[in-house]
Amino acid sequence: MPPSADDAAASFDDYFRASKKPLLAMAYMITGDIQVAQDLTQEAFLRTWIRWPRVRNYDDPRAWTRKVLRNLIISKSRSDTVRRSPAGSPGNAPPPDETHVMLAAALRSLPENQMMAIVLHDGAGMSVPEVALAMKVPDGTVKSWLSRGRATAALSLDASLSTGGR
Amino acid sequence: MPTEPDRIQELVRQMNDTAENVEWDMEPEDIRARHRRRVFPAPDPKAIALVAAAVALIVVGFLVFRPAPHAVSTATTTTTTSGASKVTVPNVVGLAEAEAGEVLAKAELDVGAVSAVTSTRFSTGVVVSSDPGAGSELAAGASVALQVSSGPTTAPSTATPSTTTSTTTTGSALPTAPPCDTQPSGGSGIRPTTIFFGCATSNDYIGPISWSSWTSTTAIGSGTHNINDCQPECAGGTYSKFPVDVQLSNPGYLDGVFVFRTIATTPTTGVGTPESATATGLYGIWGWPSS
Repeated sequence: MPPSADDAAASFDDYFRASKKPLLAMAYMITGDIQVAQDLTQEAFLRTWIRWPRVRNYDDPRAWTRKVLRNLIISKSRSDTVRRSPAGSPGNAPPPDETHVMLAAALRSLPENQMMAIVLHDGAGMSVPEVALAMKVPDGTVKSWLSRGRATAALSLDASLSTGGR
Repeated sequence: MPTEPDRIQELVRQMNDTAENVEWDMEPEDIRARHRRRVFPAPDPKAIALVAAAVALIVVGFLVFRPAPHAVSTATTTTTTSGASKVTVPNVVGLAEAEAGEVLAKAELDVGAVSAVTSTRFSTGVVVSSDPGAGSELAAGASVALQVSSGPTTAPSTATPSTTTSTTTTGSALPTAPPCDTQPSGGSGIRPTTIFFGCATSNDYIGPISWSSWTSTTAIGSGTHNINDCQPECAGGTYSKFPVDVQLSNPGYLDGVFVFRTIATTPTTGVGTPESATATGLYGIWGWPSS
């Protein structure tokens, strides 16, 4: 094994440990199902590892994994409305929370930029300038995405609450 | 009471915290191990399915022509020494002459007369046909005549048949279909728009495919790779889709049909994994509509 392979593995380990929770959280915020979120996050990391020699040199590798993860989630939710957690969740996974499921659906239905702004700012607690930097837009744009996204999400959450969910 | 936008922020934060507090004992080593399993499939059920797919395999062929069903017009088949054990002629079309000799030797057959034929389909030195053809039964030790490409001597501009001077042409020589890249599109299902990995199922397929290049040795196109995760079962599974480049290569015969026997895909956007398969037999499912 060339030395660079070990080095790649080590740097991936660091990256993984630092990114695991934020990415899982992101997946949960837009799936509402911790198991699905874990599956997809794992898949996103796998794809990152496959391309790690290139991705590790990116300015923001996590942005790349995030994008992969987001694509996985979107394509999954398009083909099946994200499935409810099956009985017998392993570990300490909390039972699916109806509100979370509905909110996740509301977030998924937002335009992508609004969804990501909310996930990064409201969810992950990044500041507006941090989100703006990550998404490569001015601060003002992030603020407007946030407020429009929240308003739309609130409406669709109300709509699903009034129909008792789907 | 309508939900206030601020409440969304609160709820989203709550979701984030919920997820961050979940214990998840996923280690980077697990990711790398999973990758190895995928690349070198072993005990992973999904991987087994893939291997099964490759075995059960359908490849991807394209029907360049239907070989005249072993119409061995010349009765040159060997005089079978009675009592000698029978062997089946292996497929050697598409192999270099020397490789063909080795393959025949393994099957306890000798190389008989070797004749040169022009071919626009095979490069120089590659076996174009054998006499008798693959699948025929011969007595062990019998000889098989080979026709080896001497390259195109006539410009392939016109759809010149690739067959030879009529010298040793037998019924099993290459049929005189024009090279496929001169076939009109919308032709007889030669260029598949959908290719399945695996038998009868559509759990792993590429389509729709558009071909940018289609020659006698390779075909190159692009399309969408669709993979069913089969969770919880294939019937209710979810397809992941990603764009890929598709390459067909390794032309030759499978069960008497001339096809590309190897397919390889390469994801083009950083999403998805490469996949490849080589056909070992031909099943009844061609899996493509005529284009």
